[in-house]
Amino acid sequence: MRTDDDLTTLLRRGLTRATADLDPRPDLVHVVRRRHARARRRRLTVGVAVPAAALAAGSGLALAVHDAPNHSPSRTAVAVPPPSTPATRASAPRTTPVRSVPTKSASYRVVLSNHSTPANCPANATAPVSKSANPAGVWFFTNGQCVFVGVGGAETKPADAVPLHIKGYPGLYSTLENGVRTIYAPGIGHPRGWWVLKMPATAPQDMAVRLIVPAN
Amino acid sequence: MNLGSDFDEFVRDSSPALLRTAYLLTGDRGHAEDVVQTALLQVARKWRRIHGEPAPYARRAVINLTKNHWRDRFRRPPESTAIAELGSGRPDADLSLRQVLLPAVMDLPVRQRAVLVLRYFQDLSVEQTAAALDCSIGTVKSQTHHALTKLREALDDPTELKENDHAH
Repeated sequence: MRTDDDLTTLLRRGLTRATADLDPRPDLVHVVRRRHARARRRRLTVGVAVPAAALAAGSGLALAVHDAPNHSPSRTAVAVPPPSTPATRASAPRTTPVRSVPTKSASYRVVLSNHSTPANCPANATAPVSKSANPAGVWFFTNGQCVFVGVGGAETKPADAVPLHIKGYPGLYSTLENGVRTIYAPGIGHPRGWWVLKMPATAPQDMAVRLIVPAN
Repeated sequence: MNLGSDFDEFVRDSSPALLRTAYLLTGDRGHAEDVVQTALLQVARKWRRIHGEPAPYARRAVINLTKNHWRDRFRRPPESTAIAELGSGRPDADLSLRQVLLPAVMDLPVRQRAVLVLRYFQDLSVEQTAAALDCSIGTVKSQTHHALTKLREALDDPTELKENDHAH
Protein backbone atom coordinates (compact mmCIF):
# COMPACT_ATOMS: atom_id res chain seq x y z
CA MET A 1 0.00 0.00 0.00
CA ARG A 2 1.32 3.37 -1.00
CA THR A 3 2.15 5.80 1.72
CA ASP A 4 1.22 9.43 1.52
CA ASP A 5 4.82 10.23 0.69
CA ASP A 6 4.77 7.79 -2.21
CA LEU A 7 1.59 9.33 -3.49
CA THR A 8 2.75 12.90 -3.18
CA THR A 9 6.04 12.07 -4.87
CA LEU A 10 4.12 10.38 -7.65
CA LEU A 11 1.82 13.38 -7.93
CA ARG A 12 4.65 15.89 -8.10
CA ARG A 13 6.44 13.93 -10.76
CA GLY A 14 3.36 12.84 -12.63
CA LEU A 15 1.60 16.18 -12.86
CA THR A 16 4.79 17.96 -13.85
CA ARG A 17 5.65 15.41 -16.49
CA ALA A 18 2.13 15.22 -17.87
CA THR A 19 2.00 18.95 -18.50
CA ALA A 20 5.61 19.50 -19.46
CA ASP A 21 4.87 19.91 -23.13
CA LEU A 22 1.99 22.30 -22.53
CA ASP A 23 2.99 25.84 -23.40
CA PRO A 24 0.91 28.95 -23.90
CA ARG A 25 0.52 30.33 -27.39
CA PRO A 26 3.44 32.51 -28.40
CA ASP A 27 1.28 35.57 -29.00
CA LEU A 28 -0.48 35.41 -25.64
CA VAL A 29 0.86 38.81 -24.59
CA HIS A 30 -0.59 40.44 -27.69
CA VAL A 31 -3.87 38.58 -27.36
CA VAL A 32 -4.29 39.71 -23.77
CA ARG A 33 -3.32 43.27 -24.61
CA ARG A 34 -5.74 43.36 -27.53
CA ARG A 35 -8.61 41.99 -25.44
CA HIS A 36 -7.77 44.39 -22.64
CA ALA A 37 -7.84 47.37 -24.99
CA ARG A 38 -11.12 46.24 -26.50
CA ALA A 39 -12.72 45.73 -23.08
CA ARG A 40 -11.47 49.12 -21.98
CA ARG A 41 -13.01 50.83 -24.99
CA ARG A 42 -16.28 49.05 -24.31
CA ARG A 43 -16.27 50.15 -20.68
CA LEU A 44 -15.61 53.74 -21.68
CA THR A 45 -18.45 53.70 -24.18
CA VAL A 46 -20.87 52.29 -21.67
CA GLY A 47 -19.64 54.74 -19.07
CA VAL A 48 -20.57 57.62 -21.32
CA ALA A 49 -23.76 56.31 -22.84
CA VAL A 50 -25.49 54.79 -19.83
CA PRO A 51 -25.45 57.86 -17.54
CA ALA A 52 -26.82 60.00 -20.34
CA ALA A 53 -29.62 57.56 -21.02
CA ALA A 54 -30.32 57.11 -17.33
CA LEU A 55 -30.43 60.83 -16.83
CA ALA A 56 -32.88 61.26 -19.65
CA ALA A 57 -35.05 58.40 -18.51
CA GLY A 58 -35.04 59.71 -14.97
CA SER A 59 -35.98 63.21 -15.87
CA GLY A 60 -38.86 62.46 -18.15
CA LEU A 61 -37.65 64.54 -21.07
CA ALA A 62 -36.33 62.85 -24.11
CA LEU A 63 -36.14 64.26 -27.55
CA ALA A 64 -36.06 61.49 -30.08
CA VAL A 65 -34.05 62.29 -33.14
CA HIS A 66 -35.30 61.55 -36.62
CA ASP A 67 -33.79 62.02 -40.04
CA ALA A 68 -30.39 62.34 -38.49
CA PRO A 69 -28.13 59.45 -39.37
CA ASN A 70 -25.81 60.22 -36.54
CA HIS A 71 -28.47 59.33 -34.02
CA SER A 72 -29.20 55.68 -33.52
CA PRO A 73 -30.27 53.71 -30.49
CA SER A 74 -27.12 51.68 -30.43
CA ARG A 75 -24.54 54.40 -30.09
CA THR A 76 -24.03 57.88 -28.86
CA ALA A 77 -24.59 60.73 -31.23
CA VAL A 78 -21.71 62.40 -32.98
CA ALA A 79 -21.52 65.47 -35.12
CA VAL A 80 -21.78 64.84 -38.83
CA PRO A 81 -20.66 66.95 -41.77
CA PRO A 82 -23.29 69.11 -43.43
CA PRO A 83 -25.23 67.50 -46.27
CA SER A 84 -25.06 68.63 -49.83
CA THR A 85 -28.78 69.39 -50.09
CA PRO A 86 -30.86 71.45 -47.68
CA ALA A 87 -33.90 70.16 -45.87
CA THR A 88 -37.15 70.46 -47.81
CA ARG A 89 -39.73 70.01 -45.12
CA ALA A 90 -42.61 72.45 -45.35
CA SER A 91 -42.30 73.34 -41.72
CA ALA A 92 -38.64 74.23 -41.94
CA PRO A 93 -37.88 77.65 -40.51
CA ARG A 94 -37.47 80.49 -42.93
CA THR A 95 -34.75 82.45 -41.32
CA THR A 96 -31.36 83.55 -42.43
CA PRO A 97 -29.03 80.63 -42.01
CA VAL A 98 -26.08 81.08 -39.74
CA ARG A 99 -23.05 79.82 -41.56
CA SER A 100 -20.99 78.91 -38.56
CA VAL A 101 -23.33 76.11 -37.55
CA PRO A 102 -23.43 72.63 -39.00
CA THR A 103 -26.32 72.86 -41.41
CA LYS A 104 -27.38 69.25 -41.05
CA SER A 105 -31.15 69.14 -40.94
CA ALA A 106 -31.28 67.58 -37.53
CA SER A 107 -34.71 67.37 -36.09
CA TYR A 108 -36.05 66.16 -32.84
CA ARG A 109 -39.27 64.82 -31.50
CA VAL A 110 -40.10 65.31 -27.86
CA VAL A 111 -40.91 62.06 -26.18
CA LEU A 112 -42.84 62.70 -23.05
CA SER A 113 -42.93 59.53 -21.10
CA ASN A 114 -44.71 58.83 -17.85
CA HIS A 115 -42.74 60.31 -15.09
CA SER A 116 -43.17 61.15 -11.45
CA THR A 117 -42.14 64.43 -9.98
CA PRO A 118 -38.66 64.30 -8.47
CA ALA A 119 -38.81 64.18 -4.71
CA ASN A 120 -37.29 67.57 -4.07
CA CYS A 121 -39.20 69.51 -6.67
CA PRO A 122 -41.87 71.97 -5.65
CA ALA A 123 -44.91 70.39 -4.17
CA ASN A 124 -47.15 72.13 -6.66
CA ALA A 125 -45.36 70.62 -9.65
CA THR A 126 -47.84 68.88 -11.83
CA ALA A 127 -47.36 65.17 -11.84
CA PRO A 128 -46.61 63.43 -14.01
CA VAL A 129 -44.77 66.50 -15.10
CA SER A 130 -43.98 65.23 -18.52
CA LYS A 131 -47.66 65.01 -19.36
CA SER A 132 -48.45 68.36 -17.92
CA ALA A 133 -50.03 70.89 -20.20
CA ASN A 134 -49.75 73.77 -17.80
CA PRO A 135 -46.95 74.39 -17.37
CA ALA A 136 -45.73 72.26 -20.26
CA GLY A 137 -42.32 70.92 -19.54
CA VAL A 138 -40.34 68.81 -17.16
CA TRP A 139 -38.54 69.18 -13.93
CA PHE A 140 -35.21 67.67 -13.27
CA PHE A 141 -33.10 67.67 -10.20
CA THR A 142 -29.45 68.63 -10.38
CA ASN A 143 -26.81 70.10 -8.10
CA GLY A 144 -29.23 70.14 -5.23
CA GLN A 145 -31.86 72.16 -6.98
CA CYS A 146 -34.87 71.49 -9.06
CA VAL A 147 -34.76 72.91 -12.56
CA PHE A 148 -37.80 73.42 -14.68
CA VAL A 149 -37.44 73.22 -18.43
CA GLY A 150 -40.45 74.50 -20.24
CA VAL A 151 -41.19 72.76 -23.51
CA GLY A 152 -43.01 74.66 -26.18
CA GLY A 153 -42.90 75.37 -29.86
CA ALA A 154 -42.19 78.16 -32.32
CA GLU A 155 -42.55 78.70 -36.04
CA THR A 156 -39.18 80.26 -36.27
CA LYS A 157 -36.25 81.04 -34.14
CA PRO A 158 -35.29 84.62 -33.41
CA ALA A 159 -32.81 86.25 -35.71
CA ASP A 160 -30.49 86.93 -32.82
CA ALA A 161 -30.38 83.30 -31.74
CA VAL A 162 -26.85 82.08 -31.67
CA PRO A 163 -25.76 78.59 -32.53
CA LEU A 164 -25.44 76.33 -29.56
CA HIS A 165 -22.61 73.91 -29.94
CA ILE A 166 -23.15 70.73 -28.02
CA LYS A 167 -21.35 67.78 -29.39
CA GLY A 168 -23.65 65.30 -31.01
CA TYR A 169 -26.60 67.66 -31.25
CA PRO A 170 -26.33 69.72 -34.40
CA GLY A 171 -28.75 72.44 -35.37
CA LEU A 172 -29.42 73.91 -31.94
CA TYR A 173 -29.70 77.62 -31.26
CA SER A 174 -30.11 79.57 -28.09
CA THR A 175 -30.91 82.98 -26.77
CA LEU A 176 -30.34 84.49 -23.36
CA GLU A 177 -32.69 87.18 -22.21
CA ASN A 178 -33.66 88.45 -18.76
CA GLY A 179 -32.06 85.49 -17.09
CA VAL A 180 -33.94 83.00 -19.22
CA ARG A 181 -32.12 80.78 -21.64
CA THR A 182 -34.12 79.54 -24.59
CA ILE A 183 -32.90 76.68 -26.70
CA TYR A 184 -34.34 76.05 -30.13
CA ALA A 185 -34.24 72.56 -31.58
CA PRO A 186 -35.61 71.82 -35.05
CA GLY A 187 -38.64 69.73 -34.31
CA ILE A 188 -39.88 66.93 -36.43
CA GLY A 189 -43.62 66.55 -36.22
CA HIS A 190 -43.95 69.80 -34.39
CA PRO A 191 -46.72 71.85 -35.96
CA ARG A 192 -44.78 75.05 -35.54
CA GLY A 193 -41.36 73.85 -36.68
CA TRP A 194 -39.16 74.30 -33.63
CA TRP A 195 -39.13 72.88 -30.17
CA VAL A 196 -38.38 75.54 -27.62
CA LEU A 197 -36.82 74.71 -24.28
CA LYS A 198 -36.85 77.49 -21.72
CA MET A 199 -34.84 77.31 -18.54
CA PRO A 200 -33.12 79.62 -16.05
CA ALA A 201 -29.82 81.00 -17.23
CA THR A 202 -28.11 79.32 -14.33
CA ALA A 203 -29.45 75.90 -15.25
CA PRO A 204 -26.94 73.57 -16.86
CA GLN A 205 -27.93 73.84 -20.50
CA ASP A 206 -25.66 70.95 -21.43
CA MET A 207 -27.49 68.70 -19.06
CA ALA A 208 -30.84 69.82 -20.38
CA VAL A 209 -29.77 69.20 -23.94
CA ARG A 210 -28.10 65.95 -23.10
CA LEU A 211 -31.50 64.74 -22.19
CA ILE A 212 -31.90 64.49 -25.93
CA VAL A 213 -31.21 60.83 -26.48
CA PRO A 214 -31.74 58.55 -29.41
CA ALA A 215 -35.04 56.78 -28.99
CA ASN A 216 -37.26 54.59 -31.08
CA MET B 1 -4.75 52.55 -17.90
CA ASN B 2 -1.71 51.70 -19.97
CA LEU B 3 0.08 48.46 -19.36
CA GLY B 4 3.81 48.70 -19.25
CA SER B 5 6.45 46.24 -20.29
CA ASP B 6 6.40 44.82 -16.77
CA PHE B 7 2.97 43.39 -17.53
CA ASP B 8 4.29 41.71 -20.68
CA GLU B 9 7.10 40.24 -18.67
CA PHE B 10 4.69 38.98 -16.05
CA VAL B 11 2.53 37.32 -18.71
CA ARG B 12 5.52 35.64 -20.30
CA ASP B 13 6.85 34.40 -16.96
CA SER B 14 3.65 33.27 -15.34
CA SER B 15 1.55 31.99 -18.21
CA PRO B 16 3.13 28.52 -18.54
CA ALA B 17 2.47 27.66 -14.88
CA LEU B 18 -0.99 29.23 -15.02
CA LEU B 19 -1.87 27.30 -18.16
CA ARG B 20 -0.70 24.02 -16.71
CA THR B 21 -2.58 24.64 -13.50
CA ALA B 22 -5.73 25.52 -15.41
CA TYR B 23 -5.22 22.44 -17.55
CA LEU B 24 -5.00 20.19 -14.54
CA LEU B 25 -8.06 21.80 -13.02
CA THR B 26 -10.25 21.78 -16.12
CA GLY B 27 -8.88 18.75 -17.94
CA ASP B 28 -9.24 20.51 -21.26
CA ARG B 29 -6.63 22.50 -23.09
CA GLY B 30 -9.06 24.81 -24.85
CA HIS B 31 -10.84 25.70 -21.64
CA ALA B 32 -7.52 26.11 -19.89
CA GLU B 33 -6.36 28.63 -22.48
CA ASP B 34 -9.62 30.53 -22.18
CA VAL B 35 -9.32 30.57 -18.42
CA VAL B 36 -5.75 31.84 -18.51
CA GLN B 37 -6.58 34.60 -20.96
CA THR B 38 -9.53 35.72 -18.88
CA ALA B 39 -7.49 35.59 -15.69
CA LEU B 40 -4.73 37.65 -17.26
CA LEU B 41 -7.33 40.17 -18.43
CA GLN B 42 -8.53 40.48 -14.86
CA VAL B 43 -4.96 41.05 -13.77
CA ALA B 44 -4.47 43.63 -16.52
CA ARG B 45 -7.53 45.53 -15.38
CA LYS B 46 -6.12 45.88 -11.88
CA TRP B 47 -2.45 45.86 -12.78
CA ARG B 48 -1.60 49.22 -11.22
CA ARG B 49 -3.66 48.53 -8.12
CA ILE B 50 -2.15 45.17 -7.27
CA HIS B 51 0.21 45.58 -4.37
CA GLY B 52 3.00 43.07 -4.11
CA GLU B 53 3.26 40.00 -6.26
CA PRO B 54 0.65 39.68 -8.99
CA ALA B 55 1.16 35.92 -9.32
CA PRO B 56 -1.10 34.94 -6.39
CA TYR B 57 -3.80 37.23 -7.75
CA ALA B 58 -3.57 35.58 -11.15
CA ARG B 59 -3.57 32.13 -9.60
CA ARG B 60 -6.64 32.97 -7.60
CA ALA B 61 -8.36 34.23 -10.73
CA VAL B 62 -7.55 31.00 -12.53
CA ILE B 63 -8.97 28.94 -9.68
CA ASN B 64 -12.18 30.97 -9.52
CA LEU B 65 -12.64 30.75 -13.26
CA THR B 66 -12.12 27.00 -13.27
CA LYS B 67 -14.72 26.73 -10.54
CA ASN B 68 -17.12 28.52 -12.85
CA HIS B 69 -16.10 26.20 -15.65
CA TRP B 70 -16.94 23.15 -13.60
CA ARG B 71 -20.16 24.68 -12.38
CA ASP B 72 -21.24 25.32 -15.97
CA ARG B 73 -20.09 21.91 -17.02
CA PHE B 74 -22.36 20.22 -14.51
CA ARG B 75 -25.29 22.06 -16.04
CA ARG B 76 -24.48 20.92 -19.55
CA PRO B 77 -24.73 17.43 -21.00
CA PRO B 78 -21.58 15.46 -20.26
CA GLU B 79 -18.74 15.92 -22.67
CA SER B 80 -16.15 13.36 -23.52
CA THR B 81 -13.21 13.93 -21.25
CA ALA B 82 -10.24 15.59 -22.80
CA ILE B 83 -7.76 13.87 -20.58
CA ALA B 84 -6.84 11.44 -23.34
CA GLU B 85 -5.12 14.27 -25.13
CA LEU B 86 -3.02 15.15 -22.12
CA GLY B 87 0.62 15.24 -23.07
CA SER B 88 1.42 14.51 -26.61
CA GLY B 89 5.04 13.54 -26.24
CA ARG B 90 6.86 10.57 -24.79
CA PRO B 91 3.97 8.20 -25.31
CA ASP B 92 5.47 4.97 -24.06
CA ALA B 93 7.06 5.99 -20.79
CA ASP B 94 4.24 8.23 -19.60
CA LEU B 95 1.39 6.23 -20.97
CA SER B 96 0.46 4.51 -17.73
CA LEU B 97 0.99 7.66 -15.80
CA ARG B 98 -1.39 9.50 -18.05
CA GLN B 99 -3.88 6.73 -18.33
CA VAL B 100 -4.05 5.98 -14.62
CA LEU B 101 -2.88 8.89 -12.53
CA LEU B 102 -4.44 11.78 -14.39
CA PRO B 103 -7.92 10.28 -14.78
CA ALA B 104 -7.78 9.40 -11.09
CA VAL B 105 -6.94 13.01 -10.27
CA MET B 106 -9.66 14.26 -12.58
CA ASP B 107 -12.21 12.03 -10.90
CA LEU B 108 -11.65 13.77 -7.60
CA PRO B 109 -14.10 16.45 -6.52
CA VAL B 110 -13.11 19.89 -7.74
CA ARG B 111 -11.91 21.18 -4.42
CA GLN B 112 -9.83 18.12 -3.62
CA ARG B 113 -8.29 18.24 -7.06
CA ALA B 114 -7.51 21.92 -6.64
CA VAL B 115 -5.83 21.22 -3.32
CA LEU B 116 -3.65 18.51 -4.85
CA VAL B 117 -2.72 20.62 -7.85
CA LEU B 118 -1.83 23.65 -5.76
CA ARG B 119 0.12 21.71 -3.16
CA TYR B 120 1.92 19.15 -5.27
CA PHE B 121 2.11 20.78 -8.66
CA GLN B 122 2.45 24.43 -7.73
CA ASP B 123 4.33 23.51 -4.55
CA LEU B 124 2.35 25.88 -2.41
CA SER B 125 2.35 25.57 1.34
CA VAL B 126 -0.78 24.71 3.25
CA GLU B 127 -1.19 28.36 4.16
CA GLN B 128 -0.74 29.57 0.59
CA THR B 129 -3.16 26.94 -0.65
CA ALA B 130 -5.72 28.02 1.91
CA ALA B 131 -5.32 31.61 0.81
CA ALA B 132 -5.62 30.70 -2.85
CA LEU B 133 -8.75 28.66 -2.27
CA ASP B 134 -10.19 31.09 0.23
CA CYS B 135 -10.66 28.45 2.89
CA SER B 136 -9.15 27.55 6.23
CA ILE B 137 -5.90 25.70 6.78
CA GLY B 138 -7.83 22.88 8.40
CA THR B 139 -9.96 22.53 5.30
CA VAL B 140 -6.86 22.27 3.12
CA LYS B 141 -5.45 19.55 5.36
CA SER B 142 -8.66 17.56 5.44
CA GLN B 143 -9.21 17.93 1.71
CA THR B 144 -5.65 16.77 1.10
CA HIS B 145 -6.20 13.75 3.29
CA HIS B 146 -9.45 12.81 1.57
CA ALA B 147 -7.94 13.35 -1.86
CA LEU B 148 -4.93 11.17 -1.15
CA THR B 149 -7.16 8.45 0.27
CA LYS B 150 -9.34 8.45 -2.84
CA LEU B 151 -6.32 8.56 -5.08
CA ARG B 152 -4.81 5.59 -3.29
CA GLU B 153 -7.99 3.61 -3.82
CA ALA B 154 -8.19 4.62 -7.45
CA LEU B 155 -4.68 3.55 -8.24
CA ASP B 156 -5.56 -0.09 -7.85
CA ASP B 157 -2.64 -1.35 -9.87
CA PRO B 158 0.21 0.56 -8.39
CA THR B 159 2.91 -1.88 -9.44
CA GLU B 160 2.65 -1.14 -13.09
CA LEU B 161 2.45 2.55 -12.49
CA LYS B 162 5.40 2.53 -10.17
CA GLU B 163 7.50 0.47 -12.56
CA ASN B 164 6.75 2.78 -15.45
CA ASP B 165 7.29 5.72 -13.23
CA HIS B 166 10.67 4.51 -12.14
CA ALA B 167 11.61 3.33 -15.59
CA HIS B 168 11.36 6.85 -16.84
